[in-house]
Amino acid sequence: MGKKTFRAALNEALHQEMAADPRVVVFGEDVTGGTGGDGEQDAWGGAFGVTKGLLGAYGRKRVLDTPITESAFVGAAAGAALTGLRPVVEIMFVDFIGVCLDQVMNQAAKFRYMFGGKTRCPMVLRATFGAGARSASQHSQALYPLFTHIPGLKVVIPSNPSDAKGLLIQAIRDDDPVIFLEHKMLYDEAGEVSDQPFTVPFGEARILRDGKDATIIAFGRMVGRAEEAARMLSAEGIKVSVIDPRTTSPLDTETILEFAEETGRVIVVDEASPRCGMAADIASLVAEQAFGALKAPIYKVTPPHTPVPYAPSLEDAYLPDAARIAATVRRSMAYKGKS
Amino acid sequence: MSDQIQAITMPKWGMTMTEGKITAWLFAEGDAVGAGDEFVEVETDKIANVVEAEHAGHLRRILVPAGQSARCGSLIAVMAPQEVTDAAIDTYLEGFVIEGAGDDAQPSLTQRKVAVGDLTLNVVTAAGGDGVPVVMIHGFGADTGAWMFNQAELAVGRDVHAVDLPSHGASDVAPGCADLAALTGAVAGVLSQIAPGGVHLVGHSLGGRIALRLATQADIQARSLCLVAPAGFGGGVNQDFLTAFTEADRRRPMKAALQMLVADPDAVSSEMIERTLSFKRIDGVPDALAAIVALSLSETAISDGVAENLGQLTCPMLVIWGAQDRILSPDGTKTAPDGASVILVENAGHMPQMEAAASVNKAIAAHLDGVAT
Repeated sequence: MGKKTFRAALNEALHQEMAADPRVVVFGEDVTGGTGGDGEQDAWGGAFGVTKGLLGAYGRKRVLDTPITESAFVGAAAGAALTGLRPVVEIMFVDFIGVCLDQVMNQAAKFRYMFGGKTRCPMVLRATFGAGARSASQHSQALYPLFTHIPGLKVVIPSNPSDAKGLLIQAIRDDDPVIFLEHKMLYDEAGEVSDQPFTVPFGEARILRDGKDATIIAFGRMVGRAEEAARMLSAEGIKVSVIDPRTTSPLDTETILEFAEETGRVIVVDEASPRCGMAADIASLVAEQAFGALKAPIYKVTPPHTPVPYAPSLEDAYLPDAARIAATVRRSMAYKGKS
Repeated sequence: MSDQIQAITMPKWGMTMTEGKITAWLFAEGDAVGAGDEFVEVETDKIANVVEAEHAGHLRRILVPAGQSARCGSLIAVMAPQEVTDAAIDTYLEGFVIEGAGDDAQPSLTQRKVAVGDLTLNVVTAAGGDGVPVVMIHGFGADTGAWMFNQAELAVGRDVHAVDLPSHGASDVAPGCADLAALTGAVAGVLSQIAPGGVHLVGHSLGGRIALRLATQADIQARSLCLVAPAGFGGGVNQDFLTAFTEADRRRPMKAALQMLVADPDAVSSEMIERTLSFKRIDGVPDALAAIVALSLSETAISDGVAENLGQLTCPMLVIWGAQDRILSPDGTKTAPDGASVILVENAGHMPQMEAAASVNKAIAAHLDGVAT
């Protein structure tokens, strides 16, 4: 045990799985931290430092820098996975998925189904996502609903260092293509993480707080903000449950419905755009299957339907924060029905 | 006069707790509080519990009102008999030194790794003084956190260590170390390093069985033995629990399994469930737990009852059992040898040290104080 950052937890997961399984390979842009030359190799360990030390430990045959062509290296990962490797590829920003979506959406996601269940495609596609880093519209999106929409993909969004490690190990051991999304504002967050290799199964939500008055469901970086809101509300005597589904595909519908039925008030916090996002998806699930238990409308706390703004003041206003989440819970508590 | 004044400080429940929030004072300033009365509710992000008064007195001063948080070890209230003057309390407050205040202060619980042969075991220590130390041994599937309400409280005049058994907590995963002899040998190896000059043993459940066996070994120099719902006394272990616990790989089945451990099912929090599932998902742990069940807790492994010759034990023995224990029947108290003190705790299941922490702490403290050291 010991406190580790989100970044260090991911790095430890990669190290432990590469040590345990020679089929695990890592490639992407700058994952060895440089140009492929000998001078500055592994200076950073990738743009965000997550792959630090892998090159020295496992060599160039298993840790490769690729050219800046997502279409080529994501396609290569899908092919390598089909033929027996367990590639972990890194797209520096998930926003770049556009240039290689066919490889993910039409190839990797469909192999098992279209080959009659006779193939496996155990690839992990890691990518950073999320707003807050002043990186403007093309480097700040939360595109997980896009992947969640596509059958055949598993979609993982860790919210804390321990889950980051356990979910990444699970992703590497999983036989299906996994989209593993890391919020870039969480890399320096620290928390208790076991030193030993361990897994967190997909499709199991984490319950961060138990409260009888309302349920907040949140993803990624929004989980911490939901907890902050829960603390604020607790001081006012409003006790809320906070649930982090951890994966959007598969989704732990059982836990979501259990808490929806227990509390009768559901607030979903989603950093993705409001249309066709996880908040809308969960709202539809609860409305269809737990309608009778609801004491108030299901409320969504999301950004507006706009690109992520570059201006710091606008970017801060764009993202849901604890105050907005708490205000939405109070609104749910105050709901009296038709007057 | 100040020896009659009792400082009430924010408790520390486990390694990760740094502060707690007062959710309610159950007595007002000036009220008389009896020993054992529940008088203040404290919660952290992870756990909520009621604190019971150690000694009787009047609640003279509330320093941290309900709704506010305070660091562990900081003063939250003062109790004193009625005859103590307000001025004397003011003087006491001025001189009070907050333990653990400031970021550089020594934490009240420290953690270290102790090597025993190829194994590394985790030991958590509450420093308390130079007296003969206490070593606490948790039960199957638990870890040092099983003593979170007891360890720091009992560290008065002596250090209190808690050991993570092999394949538990932050100790090494070792499926080969699973029968009673191997588990006992591993703990003995730790004792030879942290308590070479004698030890007070406290064991819960499987840890009770281990403590009992350790106490029969001359080299351990056991000064006293406290067994909380020990395995091996009386009937066997509830095999339904062992099956449910080892098979549970999701939240709901794990909740059902953990609820068998306690008298009050609401005592099982989502945090406990998550923590237990996380432990079971460490590589190698499921195999190690299965091995321990087969070799140390199954009906065949436990059918001998108490393998040790209780008559050989010379050190004072205290046996504590929850009256609603569904894992090991409280009838086990009847197996306690003559001369042992036996305490049956009402409204507690298999974890009386958590469900009735104050009364269990008081009993263990009295037991320890009664032993000439």
